[in-house]
Amino acid sequence: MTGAAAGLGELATTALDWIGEPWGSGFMRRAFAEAVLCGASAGALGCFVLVRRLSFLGESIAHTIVLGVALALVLGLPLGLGGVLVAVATAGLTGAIAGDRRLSADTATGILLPTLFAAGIALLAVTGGGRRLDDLLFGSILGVEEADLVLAALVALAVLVVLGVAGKEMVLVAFDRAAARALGYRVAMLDAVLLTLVALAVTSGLRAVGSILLAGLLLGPPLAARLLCRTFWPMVAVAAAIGALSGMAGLYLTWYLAIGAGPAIVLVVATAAALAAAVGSALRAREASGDGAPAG
Amino acid sequence: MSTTPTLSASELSVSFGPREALTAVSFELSAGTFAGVLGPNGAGKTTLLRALLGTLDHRGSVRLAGRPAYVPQAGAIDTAFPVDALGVVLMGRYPRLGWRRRPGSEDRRRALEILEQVGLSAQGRMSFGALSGGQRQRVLVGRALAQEGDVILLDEPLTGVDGPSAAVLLDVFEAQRRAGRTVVMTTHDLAQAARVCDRLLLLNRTLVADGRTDQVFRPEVLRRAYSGELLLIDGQTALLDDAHHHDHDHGS
Repeated sequence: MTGAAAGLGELATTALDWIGEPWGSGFMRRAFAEAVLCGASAGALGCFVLVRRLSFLGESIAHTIVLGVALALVLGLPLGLGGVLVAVATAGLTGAIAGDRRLSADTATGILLPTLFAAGIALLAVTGGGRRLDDLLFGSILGVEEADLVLAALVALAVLVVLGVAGKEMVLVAFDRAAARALGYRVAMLDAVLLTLVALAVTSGLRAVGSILLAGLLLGPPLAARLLCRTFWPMVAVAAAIGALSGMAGLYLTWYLAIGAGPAIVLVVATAAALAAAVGSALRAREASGDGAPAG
Repeated sequence: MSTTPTLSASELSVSFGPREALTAVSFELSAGTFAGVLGPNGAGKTTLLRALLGTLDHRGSVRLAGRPAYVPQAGAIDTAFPVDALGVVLMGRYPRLGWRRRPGSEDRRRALEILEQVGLSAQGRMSFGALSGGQRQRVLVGRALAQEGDVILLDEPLTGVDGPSAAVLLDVFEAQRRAGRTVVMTTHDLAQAARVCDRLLLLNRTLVADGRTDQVFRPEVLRRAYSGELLLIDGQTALLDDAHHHDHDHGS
Protein backbone atom coordinates (compact mmCIF):
# COMPACT_ATOMS: atom_id res chain seq x y z
CA MET A 1 0.00 0.00 0.00
CA THR A 2 2.73 2.39 1.03
CA GLY A 3 4.69 1.36 -2.03
CA ALA A 4 1.71 2.06 -4.28
CA ALA A 5 1.20 5.48 -2.67
CA ALA A 6 4.87 6.27 -3.09
CA GLY A 7 4.65 5.17 -6.73
CA LEU A 8 1.65 7.42 -7.32
CA GLY A 9 3.42 10.30 -5.61
CA GLU A 10 6.46 9.81 -7.80
CA LEU A 11 4.24 9.68 -10.88
CA ALA A 12 2.53 12.91 -9.84
CA THR A 13 5.88 14.58 -9.27
CA THR A 14 7.10 13.43 -12.69
CA ALA A 15 3.88 14.69 -14.31
CA LEU A 16 4.19 18.05 -12.58
CA ASP A 17 7.81 18.29 -13.65
CA TRP A 18 6.76 17.42 -17.19
CA ILE A 19 4.04 20.09 -17.15
CA GLY A 20 6.18 22.69 -15.42
CA GLU A 21 9.43 22.30 -17.32
CA PRO A 22 8.57 24.44 -20.36
CA TRP A 23 7.43 27.26 -18.07
CA GLY A 24 10.99 27.67 -16.84
CA SER A 25 11.96 29.47 -20.02
CA GLY A 26 10.94 33.08 -20.55
CA PHE A 27 10.35 32.60 -24.28
CA MET A 28 8.01 29.67 -23.56
CA ARG A 29 6.01 31.69 -21.01
CA ARG A 30 5.53 34.41 -23.63
CA ALA A 31 4.63 31.75 -26.21
CA PHE A 32 2.02 30.23 -23.87
CA ALA A 33 0.49 33.67 -23.28
CA GLU A 34 0.44 34.40 -27.01
CA ALA A 35 -1.08 31.00 -27.83
CA VAL A 36 -3.85 31.38 -25.24
CA LEU A 37 -4.74 34.93 -26.30
CA CYS A 38 -4.64 34.24 -30.05
CA GLY A 39 -6.37 30.87 -29.74
CA ALA A 40 -9.21 32.28 -27.64
CA SER A 41 -9.74 35.35 -29.88
CA ALA A 42 -9.62 33.38 -33.12
CA GLY A 43 -11.83 30.63 -31.68
CA ALA A 44 -14.52 33.08 -30.53
CA LEU A 45 -14.55 35.14 -33.74
CA GLY A 46 -14.32 32.04 -35.90
CA CYS A 47 -17.81 31.09 -34.63
CA PHE A 48 -19.23 34.09 -36.47
CA VAL A 49 -17.19 33.22 -39.57
CA LEU A 50 -18.49 29.64 -39.43
CA VAL A 51 -22.20 30.33 -38.85
CA ARG A 52 -22.21 33.05 -41.49
CA ARG A 53 -20.70 30.56 -43.91
CA LEU A 54 -17.74 32.83 -44.53
CA SER A 55 -15.12 30.12 -44.14
CA PHE A 56 -13.75 30.78 -47.62
CA LEU A 57 -13.43 34.47 -46.80
CA GLY A 58 -11.69 33.62 -43.51
CA GLU A 59 -9.24 31.38 -45.36
CA SER A 60 -8.71 34.10 -47.94
CA ILE A 61 -8.04 36.81 -45.36
CA ALA A 62 -5.62 34.52 -43.51
CA HIS A 63 -3.49 34.49 -46.66
CA THR A 64 -4.00 37.97 -48.11
CA ILE A 65 -3.10 39.44 -44.72
CA VAL A 66 0.53 38.83 -45.76
CA LEU A 67 0.10 41.71 -48.21
CA GLY A 68 -1.27 43.88 -45.40
CA VAL A 69 1.72 43.14 -43.19
CA ALA A 70 4.10 43.77 -46.10
CA LEU A 71 2.42 47.11 -46.82
CA ALA A 72 2.55 48.07 -43.15
CA LEU A 73 6.27 47.25 -43.02
CA VAL A 74 6.97 49.28 -46.16
CA LEU A 75 4.88 52.27 -45.12
CA GLY A 76 5.86 52.15 -41.45
CA LEU A 77 2.25 51.59 -40.33
CA PRO A 78 1.12 49.44 -37.40
CA LEU A 79 0.82 45.82 -38.57
CA GLY A 80 -2.81 45.66 -37.37
CA LEU A 81 -3.76 48.62 -39.56
CA GLY A 82 -2.19 47.04 -42.63
CA GLY A 83 -4.01 43.82 -41.82
CA VAL A 84 -7.39 45.55 -41.44
CA LEU A 85 -6.96 47.48 -44.70
CA VAL A 86 -6.17 44.38 -46.72
CA ALA A 87 -8.92 42.34 -44.98
CA VAL A 88 -11.46 45.02 -45.89
CA ALA A 89 -10.09 45.12 -49.45
CA THR A 90 -10.31 41.31 -49.65
CA ALA A 91 -13.91 41.29 -48.45
CA GLY A 92 -14.85 44.20 -50.73
CA LEU A 93 -13.23 42.65 -53.81
CA THR A 94 -14.77 39.25 -53.00
CA GLY A 95 -18.20 40.88 -52.83
CA ALA A 96 -17.60 42.81 -56.05
CA ILE A 97 -16.49 39.73 -58.01
CA ALA A 98 -19.23 37.54 -56.52
CA GLY A 99 -21.72 40.27 -57.46
CA ASP A 100 -21.21 39.33 -61.11
CA ARG A 101 -23.95 36.72 -61.60
CA ARG A 102 -21.68 34.63 -63.84
CA LEU A 103 -19.22 34.14 -60.94
CA SER A 104 -19.48 33.15 -57.27
CA ALA A 105 -17.82 33.83 -53.92
CA ASP A 106 -15.59 30.74 -54.15
CA THR A 107 -14.43 31.82 -57.61
CA ALA A 108 -13.63 35.23 -56.15
CA THR A 109 -11.66 33.58 -53.35
CA GLY A 110 -9.86 31.36 -55.86
CA ILE A 111 -8.70 34.43 -57.75
CA LEU A 112 -8.02 36.84 -54.89
CA LEU A 113 -6.29 34.52 -52.45
CA PRO A 114 -3.30 33.63 -54.67
CA THR A 115 -3.15 37.09 -56.28
CA LEU A 116 -2.98 39.15 -53.09
CA PHE A 117 -0.86 36.51 -51.34
CA ALA A 118 1.60 36.60 -54.25
CA ALA A 119 1.59 40.40 -54.19
CA GLY A 120 2.50 40.31 -50.51
CA ILE A 121 5.39 37.90 -51.08
CA ALA A 122 6.63 39.96 -54.03
CA LEU A 123 6.46 43.18 -52.03
CA LEU A 124 8.43 41.62 -49.18
CA ALA A 125 11.07 40.39 -51.66
CA VAL A 126 11.38 43.76 -53.41
CA THR A 127 11.65 45.73 -50.18
CA GLY A 128 14.16 43.41 -48.53
CA GLY A 129 11.65 41.98 -46.07
CA GLY A 130 12.07 38.47 -47.45
CA ARG A 131 13.80 37.25 -44.31
CA ARG A 132 10.47 37.71 -42.49
CA LEU A 133 8.65 35.57 -45.02
CA ASP A 134 9.13 32.28 -43.18
CA ASP A 135 7.82 33.85 -39.96
CA LEU A 136 4.76 35.17 -41.78
CA LEU A 137 4.05 31.89 -43.51
CA PHE A 138 4.64 29.50 -40.62
CA GLY A 139 4.60 31.70 -37.52
CA SER A 140 7.33 32.19 -34.95
CA ILE A 141 5.56 31.95 -31.64
CA LEU A 142 8.74 31.02 -29.78
CA GLY A 143 10.15 34.40 -30.73
CA VAL A 144 7.25 36.58 -29.59
CA GLU A 145 8.14 39.87 -28.00
CA GLU A 146 6.38 42.18 -25.57
CA ALA A 147 4.83 44.14 -28.45
CA ASP A 148 3.29 40.96 -29.91
CA LEU A 149 1.78 40.10 -26.54
CA VAL A 150 0.40 43.61 -26.16
CA LEU A 151 -1.25 43.34 -29.61
CA ALA A 152 -2.69 39.90 -28.80
CA ALA A 153 -4.00 41.15 -25.43
CA LEU A 154 -5.56 44.25 -27.01
CA VAL A 155 -7.25 42.13 -29.67
CA ALA A 156 -8.59 39.74 -27.02
CA LEU A 157 -9.86 42.71 -25.01
CA ALA A 158 -11.48 44.22 -28.11
CA VAL A 159 -13.21 40.90 -28.84
CA LEU A 160 -14.52 40.74 -25.26
CA VAL A 161 -15.74 44.34 -25.28
CA VAL A 162 -17.39 44.17 -28.72
CA LEU A 163 -19.11 40.86 -28.01
CA GLY A 164 -20.23 42.23 -24.65
CA VAL A 165 -21.68 45.39 -26.18
CA ALA A 166 -22.99 44.19 -29.56
CA GLY A 167 -22.75 40.41 -29.43
CA LYS A 168 -26.46 39.69 -29.45
CA GLU A 169 -27.00 42.10 -32.34
CA MET A 170 -24.18 40.45 -34.32
CA VAL A 171 -25.83 37.07 -33.71
CA LEU A 172 -29.15 38.44 -35.00
CA VAL A 173 -27.43 39.73 -38.16
CA ALA A 174 -25.82 36.32 -38.65
CA PHE A 175 -29.14 34.53 -38.19
CA ASP A 176 -31.53 36.80 -40.10
CA ARG A 177 -30.19 39.88 -41.86
CA ALA A 178 -33.62 40.99 -43.13
CA ALA A 179 -35.07 40.95 -39.61
CA ALA A 180 -32.02 42.77 -38.23
CA ARG A 181 -32.50 45.53 -40.79
CA ALA A 182 -36.20 45.70 -40.01
CA LEU A 183 -35.41 46.03 -36.31
CA GLY A 184 -33.39 49.11 -37.15
CA TYR A 185 -29.85 47.77 -36.84
CA ARG A 186 -27.12 49.04 -39.13
CA VAL A 187 -26.19 45.72 -40.60
CA ALA A 188 -23.33 47.08 -42.72
CA MET A 189 -21.77 48.68 -39.64
CA LEU A 190 -21.99 45.44 -37.67
CA ASP A 191 -20.46 43.59 -40.63
CA ALA A 192 -17.60 46.09 -40.67
CA VAL A 193 -17.01 45.66 -36.94
CA LEU A 194 -16.87 41.88 -37.33
CA LEU A 195 -14.54 42.10 -40.31
CA THR A 196 -12.23 44.48 -38.45
CA LEU A 197 -12.06 42.15 -35.46
CA VAL A 198 -11.37 39.14 -37.68
CA ALA A 199 -8.61 41.07 -39.46
CA LEU A 200 -7.03 42.08 -36.14
CA ALA A 201 -7.25 38.52 -34.78
CA VAL A 202 -5.72 37.15 -37.98
CA THR A 203 -2.91 39.71 -37.88
CA SER A 204 -2.23 38.83 -34.28
CA GLY A 205 -2.48 35.09 -35.02
CA LEU A 206 0.13 35.35 -37.78
CA ARG A 207 2.78 35.34 -35.07
CA ALA A 208 1.36 32.17 -33.53
CA VAL A 209 0.81 29.83 -36.45
CA GLY A 210 1.57 31.80 -39.62
CA SER A 211 -0.53 32.61 -42.64
CA ILE A 212 -0.68 29.13 -44.16
CA LEU A 213 -2.02 27.45 -41.02
CA LEU A 214 -4.07 30.33 -39.66
CA ALA A 215 -7.37 29.14 -41.09
CA GLY A 216 -6.98 26.05 -38.88
CA LEU A 217 -6.92 28.23 -35.76
CA LEU A 218 -9.78 30.42 -37.02
CA LEU A 219 -12.11 27.63 -38.14
CA GLY A 220 -11.04 24.46 -36.30
CA PRO A 221 -12.14 25.38 -32.75
CA PRO A 222 -15.55 26.70 -33.91
CA LEU A 223 -16.06 23.54 -35.95
CA ALA A 224 -15.30 21.39 -32.89
CA ALA A 225 -17.55 23.55 -30.71
CA ARG A 226 -20.39 23.45 -33.24
CA LEU A 227 -20.35 19.67 -33.07
CA LEU A 228 -20.79 19.84 -29.29
CA CYS A 229 -23.18 22.76 -28.77
CA ARG A 230 -26.74 23.44 -29.93
CA THR A 231 -26.78 27.18 -29.25
CA PHE A 232 -24.45 30.00 -30.17
CA TRP A 233 -23.00 31.44 -26.96
CA PRO A 234 -21.98 28.10 -25.43
CA MET A 235 -20.39 27.41 -28.82
CA VAL A 236 -18.37 30.64 -28.55
CA ALA A 237 -17.19 29.78 -25.03
CA VAL A 238 -16.23 26.22 -26.01
CA ALA A 239 -14.47 27.41 -29.21
CA ALA A 240 -12.46 30.00 -27.26
CA ALA A 241 -11.48 27.34 -24.71
CA ILE A 242 -10.50 24.83 -27.41
CA GLY A 243 -8.49 27.52 -29.22
CA ALA A 244 -6.63 28.49 -26.04
CA LEU A 245 -6.03 24.92 -24.82
CA SER A 246 -4.96 23.74 -28.28
CA GLY A 247 -2.39 26.52 -28.34
CA MET A 248 -0.97 25.38 -25.03
CA ALA A 249 -1.06 21.68 -25.94
CA GLY A 250 0.65 22.45 -29.24
CA LEU A 251 3.47 24.19 -27.42
CA TYR A 252 4.02 21.14 -25.21
CA LEU A 253 4.34 19.06 -28.40
CA THR A 254 6.84 21.60 -29.68
CA TRP A 255 8.87 21.46 -26.45
CA TYR A 256 8.99 17.70 -26.10
CA LEU A 257 8.81 16.47 -29.72
CA ALA A 258 10.57 19.33 -31.50
CA ILE A 259 7.64 19.83 -33.90
CA GLY A 260 7.21 23.34 -35.33
CA ALA A 261 4.84 25.29 -33.07
CA GLY A 262 2.42 26.33 -35.84
CA PRO A 263 1.88 22.82 -37.22
CA ALA A 264 1.73 21.38 -33.68
CA ILE A 265 -1.02 23.82 -32.64
CA VAL A 266 -3.07 23.21 -35.78
CA LEU A 267 -2.70 19.42 -35.43
CA VAL A 268 -4.02 19.65 -31.87
CA VAL A 269 -6.95 21.74 -33.11
CA ALA A 270 -7.69 19.09 -35.75
CA THR A 271 -7.52 16.35 -33.10
CA ALA A 272 -9.92 18.33 -30.92
CA ALA A 273 -12.33 18.63 -33.87
CA ALA A 274 -12.13 14.87 -34.48
CA LEU A 275 -12.78 14.16 -30.78
CA ALA A 276 -15.66 16.65 -30.79
CA ALA A 277 -17.18 14.87 -33.79
CA ALA A 278 -17.05 11.57 -31.89
CA VAL A 279 -18.38 13.02 -28.62
CA GLY A 280 -21.05 15.06 -30.44
CA SER A 281 -22.19 12.00 -32.30
CA ALA A 282 -22.42 9.99 -29.06
CA LEU A 283 -24.36 12.82 -27.36
CA ARG A 284 -26.82 13.00 -30.24
CA ALA A 285 -27.29 9.24 -30.19
CA ARG A 286 -27.94 9.38 -26.43
CA GLU A 287 -30.35 12.28 -26.89
CA ALA A 288 -32.18 10.43 -29.65
CA SER A 289 -32.59 7.39 -27.39
CA GLY A 290 -34.06 9.69 -24.72
CA ASP A 291 -31.37 9.03 -22.09
CA GLY A 292 -29.93 12.50 -21.81
CA ALA A 293 -30.85 16.14 -21.85
CA PRO A 294 -29.71 18.07 -24.92
CA ALA A 295 -26.27 19.66 -24.73
CA GLY A 296 -26.03 23.45 -24.26
CA MET B 1 -61.87 50.92 -32.91
CA SER B 2 -59.76 53.94 -33.83
CA THR B 3 -59.83 55.07 -37.47
CA THR B 4 -56.59 57.06 -37.23
CA PRO B 5 -54.17 55.70 -39.85
CA THR B 6 -51.34 53.78 -38.22
CA LEU B 7 -49.73 53.04 -41.56
CA SER B 8 -49.87 55.14 -44.68
CA ALA B 9 -47.95 55.49 -47.90
CA SER B 10 -48.10 58.37 -50.31
CA GLU B 11 -46.79 58.14 -53.88
CA LEU B 12 -44.42 55.39 -52.76
CA SER B 13 -42.07 54.30 -55.56
CA VAL B 14 -39.06 51.98 -55.59
CA SER B 15 -36.54 51.41 -58.37
CA PHE B 16 -33.82 48.81 -58.75
CA GLY B 17 -31.47 50.47 -61.18
CA PRO B 18 -33.47 51.35 -64.29
CA ARG B 19 -36.30 48.97 -63.33
CA GLU B 20 -39.28 50.46 -61.53
CA ALA B 21 -40.44 47.85 -58.99
CA LEU B 22 -43.21 49.95 -57.45
CA THR B 23 -44.80 53.08 -58.78
CA ALA B 24 -46.78 55.69 -56.88
CA VAL B 25 -48.45 53.47 -54.29
CA SER B 26 -50.71 55.32 -51.87
CA PHE B 27 -52.95 53.90 -49.13
CA GLU B 28 -53.91 54.32 -45.50
CA LEU B 29 -54.54 51.59 -42.94
CA SER B 30 -56.08 52.24 -39.56
CA ALA B 31 -55.52 50.43 -36.28
CA GLY B 32 -57.28 47.09 -35.99
CA THR B 33 -57.04 46.30 -39.71
CA PHE B 34 -55.93 42.96 -41.13
CA ALA B 35 -54.83 43.77 -44.66
CA GLY B 36 -53.84 41.26 -47.32
CA VAL B 37 -51.39 42.31 -50.04
CA LEU B 38 -52.09 40.31 -53.20
CA GLY B 39 -50.49 40.23 -56.61
CA PRO B 40 -48.72 37.92 -59.05
CA ASN B 41 -45.03 37.02 -58.75
CA GLY B 42 -42.87 40.11 -59.18
CA ALA B 43 -45.78 42.43 -58.34
CA GLY B 44 -43.71 44.15 -55.66
CA LYS B 45 -45.29 42.70 -52.50
CA THR B 46 -42.01 42.10 -50.62
CA THR B 47 -40.62 45.36 -52.00
CA LEU B 48 -43.64 47.19 -50.58
CA LEU B 49 -43.08 45.72 -47.10
CA ARG B 50 -39.39 46.56 -47.16
CA ALA B 51 -40.11 50.11 -48.29
CA LEU B 52 -42.68 50.50 -45.52
CA LEU B 53 -40.05 49.35 -43.04
CA GLY B 54 -37.57 51.82 -44.46
CA THR B 55 -35.00 49.17 -45.33
CA LEU B 56 -35.18 50.02 -49.06
CA ASP B 57 -34.48 53.34 -50.71
CA HIS B 58 -37.73 54.80 -51.98
CA ARG B 59 -39.41 57.95 -53.21
CA GLY B 60 -42.63 59.25 -51.73
CA SER B 61 -43.46 59.06 -48.07
CA VAL B 62 -44.32 56.43 -45.49
CA ARG B 63 -45.91 57.15 -42.14
CA LEU B 64 -45.83 54.41 -39.57
CA ALA B 65 -47.29 55.28 -36.18
CA GLY B 66 -45.60 53.28 -33.45
CA ARG B 67 -43.17 50.43 -33.83
CA PRO B 68 -43.15 47.91 -36.68
CA ALA B 69 -42.65 44.18 -36.28
CA TYR B 70 -41.62 42.14 -39.30
CA VAL B 71 -41.64 38.50 -40.34
CA PRO B 72 -39.48 37.98 -43.45
CA GLN B 73 -39.92 35.05 -45.79
CA ALA B 74 -38.72 31.95 -43.95
CA GLY B 75 -36.73 30.62 -46.90
CA ALA B 76 -33.98 33.23 -46.41
CA ILE B 77 -33.06 31.94 -42.94
CA ASP B 78 -30.28 29.43 -42.32
CA THR B 79 -31.94 26.54 -40.53
CA ALA B 80 -28.55 25.10 -39.46
CA PHE B 81 -27.90 28.13 -37.23
CA PRO B 82 -27.19 27.10 -33.62
CA VAL B 83 -30.19 28.61 -31.87
CA ASP B 84 -33.26 27.18 -30.16
CA ALA B 85 -36.87 28.30 -30.51
CA LEU B 86 -36.77 30.32 -27.27
CA GLY B 87 -33.59 32.08 -28.46
CA VAL B 88 -35.27 33.14 -31.70
CA VAL B 89 -38.30 34.58 -29.91
CA LEU B 90 -36.00 36.43 -27.49
CA MET B 91 -34.36 38.16 -30.49
CA GLY B 92 -37.58 40.15 -30.80
CA ARG B 93 -36.80 41.74 -27.43
CA TYR B 94 -33.37 43.06 -28.49
CA PRO B 95 -34.47 46.57 -29.59
CA ARG B 96 -36.10 47.11 -26.18
CA LEU B 97 -32.95 46.05 -24.39
CA GLY B 98 -30.57 48.28 -26.31
CA TRP B 99 -26.88 47.55 -26.72
CA ARG B 100 -25.03 45.67 -23.98
CA ARG B 101 -28.03 44.36 -22.00
CA ARG B 102 -28.89 40.67 -22.28
CA PRO B 103 -32.45 39.35 -22.08
CA GLY B 104 -33.47 38.99 -18.43
CA SER B 105 -36.04 36.91 -16.57
CA GLU B 106 -38.93 39.19 -17.60
CA ASP B 107 -37.93 38.82 -21.27
CA ARG B 108 -37.76 35.04 -20.88
CA ARG B 109 -41.15 34.97 -19.19
CA ARG B 110 -42.67 36.98 -22.04
CA ALA B 111 -40.98 34.79 -24.66
CA LEU B 112 -42.31 31.63 -23.00
CA GLU B 113 -45.80 33.14 -22.97
CA ILE B 114 -45.49 33.83 -26.68
CA LEU B 115 -44.30 30.30 -27.40
CA GLU B 116 -47.44 29.08 -25.63
CA GLN B 117 -49.52 31.49 -27.71
CA VAL B 118 -48.15 30.00 -30.95
CA GLY B 119 -48.61 26.47 -29.61
CA LEU B 120 -44.95 25.66 -29.06
CA SER B 121 -44.53 25.75 -25.28
CA ALA B 122 -42.98 22.25 -25.33
CA GLN B 123 -40.53 23.09 -28.11
CA GLY B 124 -38.74 26.08 -26.54
CA ARG B 125 -35.44 24.23 -26.10
CA MET B 126 -35.56 22.52 -29.48
CA SER B 127 -33.10 23.62 -32.17
CA PHE B 128 -34.74 25.96 -34.65
CA GLY B 129 -33.57 23.73 -37.48
CA ALA B 130 -35.10 20.62 -35.90
CA LEU B 131 -38.60 22.13 -36.02
CA SER B 132 -40.95 21.53 -38.95
CA GLY B 133 -41.39 24.31 -41.51
CA GLY B 134 -44.71 25.30 -39.96
CA GLN B 135 -43.28 25.33 -36.45
CA ARG B 136 -40.33 27.46 -37.61
CA GLN B 137 -42.78 29.94 -39.10
CA ARG B 138 -44.67 30.04 -35.80
CA VAL B 139 -41.40 30.79 -34.00
CA LEU B 140 -40.63 33.64 -36.41
CA VAL B 141 -44.10 35.05 -35.86
CA GLY B 142 -43.43 34.67 -32.13
CA ARG B 143 -40.29 36.77 -32.55
CA ALA B 144 -42.41 39.48 -34.19
CA LEU B 145 -44.92 39.31 -31.32
CA ALA B 146 -42.05 39.71 -28.85
CA GLN B 147 -41.30 43.07 -30.47
CA GLU B 148 -44.75 44.24 -29.33
CA GLY B 149 -45.02 46.39 -32.43
CA ASP B 150 -48.08 48.40 -33.37
CA VAL B 151 -47.87 47.39 -37.04
CA ILE B 152 -47.07 43.78 -37.93
CA LEU B 153 -45.74 43.17 -41.45
CA LEU B 154 -45.79 39.54 -42.58
CA ASP B 155 -44.11 38.43 -45.79
CA GLU B 156 -45.85 35.29 -47.02
CA PRO B 157 -46.18 33.85 -43.50
CA LEU B 158 -48.37 30.95 -44.63
CA THR B 159 -46.44 29.81 -47.71
CA GLY B 160 -45.45 26.15 -47.35
CA VAL B 161 -46.93 25.97 -43.86
CA ASP B 162 -48.89 22.87 -42.80
CA GLY B 163 -52.62 23.17 -42.06
CA PRO B 164 -52.46 23.06 -38.23
CA SER B 165 -49.66 25.66 -38.13
CA ALA B 166 -51.55 27.90 -40.57
CA ALA B 167 -54.65 27.69 -38.35
CA VAL B 168 -52.62 28.66 -35.26
CA LEU B 169 -51.00 31.54 -37.11
CA LEU B 170 -54.29 32.89 -38.47
CA ASP B 171 -55.72 32.82 -34.93
CA VAL B 172 -52.68 34.75 -33.71
CA PHE B 173 -53.02 37.35 -36.48
CA GLU B 174 -56.72 37.78 -35.74
CA ALA B 175 -55.99 38.18 -32.01
CA GLN B 176 -53.45 40.89 -32.86
CA ARG B 177 -55.99 42.66 -35.07
CA ARG B 178 -58.57 42.50 -32.28
CA ALA B 179 -56.00 43.96 -29.90
CA GLY B 180 -55.91 47.04 -32.15
CA ARG B 181 -52.74 46.30 -34.08
CA THR B 182 -52.47 46.74 -37.83
CA VAL B 183 -51.58 43.46 -39.52
CA VAL B 184 -50.34 43.44 -43.13
CA MET B 185 -49.78 40.08 -44.83
CA THR B 186 -48.51 39.36 -48.33
CA THR B 187 -49.85 36.13 -49.77
CA HIS B 188 -50.39 34.16 -52.95
CA ASP B 189 -53.45 32.48 -51.54
CA LEU B 190 -56.34 34.56 -52.79
CA ALA B 191 -59.10 32.55 -51.15
CA GLN B 192 -57.40 32.52 -47.77
CA ALA B 193 -56.83 36.27 -47.96
CA ALA B 194 -60.48 36.79 -48.80
CA ARG B 195 -61.47 34.64 -45.83
CA VAL B 196 -59.30 36.23 -43.14
CA CYS B 197 -58.49 39.80 -44.22
CA ASP B 198 -60.86 42.71 -43.91
CA ARG B 199 -58.91 44.83 -46.37
CA LEU B 200 -57.12 43.91 -49.59
CA LEU B 201 -54.39 45.75 -51.48
CA LEU B 202 -54.02 44.43 -55.02
CA LEU B 203 -50.58 45.09 -56.46
CA ASN B 204 -48.95 44.72 -59.81
CA ARG B 205 -45.99 47.09 -59.60
CA THR B 206 -48.52 49.74 -58.69
CA LEU B 207 -51.64 49.69 -56.59
CA VAL B 208 -54.30 48.18 -58.84
CA ALA B 209 -57.06 48.15 -56.23
CA ASP B 210 -57.47 48.91 -52.55
CA GLY B 211 -60.56 48.47 -50.44
CA ARG B 212 -62.68 46.24 -48.28
CA THR B 213 -62.36 42.58 -49.10
CA ASP B 214 -65.83 42.37 -50.66
CA GLN B 215 -64.96 45.30 -52.92
CA VAL B 216 -61.63 43.90 -54.16
CA PHE B 217 -62.22 40.15 -54.22
CA ARG B 218 -64.24 40.32 -57.43
CA PRO B 219 -63.32 38.68 -60.73
CA GLU B 220 -63.29 41.92 -62.68
CA VAL B 221 -60.98 43.59 -60.11
CA LEU B 222 -58.63 40.61 -59.62
CA ARG B 223 -58.27 40.23 -63.39
CA ARG B 224 -56.74 43.73 -63.54
CA ALA B 225 -53.74 42.48 -61.56
CA TYR B 226 -53.52 38.84 -62.59
CA SER B 227 -54.71 39.13 -66.21
CA GLY B 228 -54.26 35.74 -67.91
CA GLU B 229 -52.98 34.04 -64.76
CA LEU B 230 -56.42 34.04 -63.21
CA LEU B 231 -59.00 31.54 -64.26
CA LEU B 232 -62.55 31.88 -63.04
CA ILE B 233 -65.02 29.05 -62.94
CA ASP B 234 -68.68 29.76 -62.35
CA GLY B 235 -67.68 33.20 -61.14
CA GLN B 236 -66.89 31.66 -57.74
CA THR B 237 -63.65 29.74 -57.86
CA ALA B 238 -60.34 31.55 -58.16
CA LEU B 239 -57.62 29.36 -59.59
CA LEU B 240 -54.26 31.04 -59.83
CA ASP B 241 -52.09 29.50 -62.49
CA ASP B 242 -48.61 30.94 -62.81
CA ALA B 243 -45.14 29.48 -63.19
CA HIS B 244 -44.45 29.11 -59.48
CA HIS B 245 -47.72 28.73 -57.67
CA HIS B 246 -50.63 26.44 -58.29
CA ASP B 247 -53.20 27.42 -55.72
CA HIS B 248 -56.42 25.57 -56.26
CA ASP B 249 -58.55 27.60 -53.94
CA HIS B 250 -62.25 27.46 -53.66
CA GLY B 251 -62.89 30.96 -52.49
CA SER B 252 -65.94 32.75 -51.29
